[in-house]
Order: sequence, then C-alpha cells, then structure tokens
Amino acid sequence: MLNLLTLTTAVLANAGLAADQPAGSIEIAQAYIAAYERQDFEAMREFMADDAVFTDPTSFDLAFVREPIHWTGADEILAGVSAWNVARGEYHLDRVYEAAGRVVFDASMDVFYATSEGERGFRYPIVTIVTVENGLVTEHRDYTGFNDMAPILDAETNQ
Amino acid sequence: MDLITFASLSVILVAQEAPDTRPSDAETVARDYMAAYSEMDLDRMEHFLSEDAVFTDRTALGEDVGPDGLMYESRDAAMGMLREFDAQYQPIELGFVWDTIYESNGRVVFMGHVNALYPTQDASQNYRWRAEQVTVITVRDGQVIRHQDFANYANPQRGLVPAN
Repeated sequence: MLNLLTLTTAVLANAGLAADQPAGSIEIAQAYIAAYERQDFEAMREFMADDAVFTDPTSFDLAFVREPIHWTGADEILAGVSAWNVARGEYHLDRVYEAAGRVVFDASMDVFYATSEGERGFRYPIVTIVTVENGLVTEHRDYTGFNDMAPILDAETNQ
Repeated sequence: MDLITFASLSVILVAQEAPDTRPSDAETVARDYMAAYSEMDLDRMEHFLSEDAVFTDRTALGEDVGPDGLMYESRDAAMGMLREFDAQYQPIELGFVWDTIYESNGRVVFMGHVNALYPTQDASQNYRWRAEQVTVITVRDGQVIRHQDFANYANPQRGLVPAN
C-alpha cells in the first residue's frame, strides 16, 4: 500500500523538488487529484483526513442524480466514488492556484466508463477545490457543469 | 436503479440531446449580479441579494482572517463589508474577465480573473491587482442567496498600468 510519504516523495521528485522539502498544499492536492484521476482508491485514502468531506453542491436536487454527492469520511467517500464505476478521469487544467490551504483546479474533465460496448467518455467543465490542512485533504469540493456534459468522440480522446 | 445507471444512461441521454445554449434564469441573474460586482456598483448588487444572503471568501488571507476565511451571513453584513472596502480603497472596478461560465442546480460558476483597478496620486496611472478567481453564485427564486469567492490572494500580479 502506498503511504503519504511515498506519494509525497514521488510527487516532489516529479516536480523536481528536493525530497526533504515539506510538501506544500498544492503538491499534496495535485497528488491526491492524480490518484483520483486513476481511480486509485487506496492512494486517495492515504491523503484523506479522518473527517474528510467530499461534496458537490451542483449535484443537489438534480432529478438524474439519485443521491446528493455529499460524503464524510474515507470509507463513505470511496464507496460513493467507486460506485460511479468510472474507469479513469482526466483533468484538463486551465489554472491551478492555492490560497489559505484551498487549492483551486479550474478545468474541464473527461471521465471514461468501461461498458460492454467499449469505453465511453464524457467531458464537462468543473471546478475542484481541495482543502489541505496539516498535510491531509479535509475537503474535496466540486462544482460540476452537469448541464454541459457532452460525449467525447473517439477522435477527441487523443487530444 | 443505482448511481452507475445514472452515470451510464441518464447522462448519455442528457448529453445526446441537442444542447440548449440559452442561459438559465439563474445564470441570467448571476451574470447581471456579477456585472454589478465587477463595476463595484454596490446599490445594483444589493438589489439582487436576498435578505439572508451569505457572502464567503474561504481563500482570504490576512491577520484578521481565520482558517475558514471570511463569512458574512446577511445582506446587510455583506454590503457593509463591501461599502467599507469601497470607501477605504476606492476601487475603479474589479474588472472580472470570465472565460468559462456554467450553471447547474442554481449554482452559477464563473472561472477567470479579477483585474482590480485603483486610482493613484498620479492621474495618468492606476494600480492593478490581478489574480485568478472562481466565484460561485447560488440563485433561488430569482435572488442571490450565496456568493462564494475563491481567489489567488497568495500570488497576485501587482503593478502600475496606464490609466486608459
């Protein structure tokens, strides 16, 4: 199982930083998001504080979202995320910045589902705000453009 | 039916319908409200806010700012803060430039930059404070009930620029 030190060291190495430097909020958030993209739930768990919250207020009260996306604690969060059955996700970042421990990812996101007919992908705009406190993720907050979701054509997947 | 079914079926159906590019009522309200905010037209901003509107900035930094940032839990409190800011710094405009705007479930998301301009003692120059910003405006029943700013206060671009 990967642990935070391993992941942080890997992130710092990838970022070209010295391994003995403490990881900042932005590096921790980026490593967490990378695990989220891979749907690597054990790696995600290592980043989460015990009382971490995963929420998406844009999902509340939408008829086609059966339950609001608002989970507390790693077990509930990972059960919820894994139930989507997403094979992988890719953030296409416009901007990443951090202030006061909140790391803001301005992006569009591609998600890919493995289906019996092959992989199907969808793209939508998203803002993800990851709050990092004491080296751990305490909140993953999404604002998803559910109304702007569009299928990804095969030719687009390599862009 | 579970969430997987939602993801794999409902979204497909939604996504394959002809896109409706008309802004929602919530988006129209939020765009008008944010235009007033951009121009620091505070009286016009106030017109959009519900009495119990909440204004937050969880990315705020400063000696008097706690770990949860800034929060004003009524229209009067929010407008009081904004009017004090306006009186103290006399911004010409906040000059938002948004490259992405979308709405879901009454939340209207603005992604872009703030380009705040302030006067200086030299009439030929303004002071510009520019940073990445996301703002999320929640609209219910035609009124703004929540305003959330997330700006890059940690690394803004600052400097003098010619006045017009």
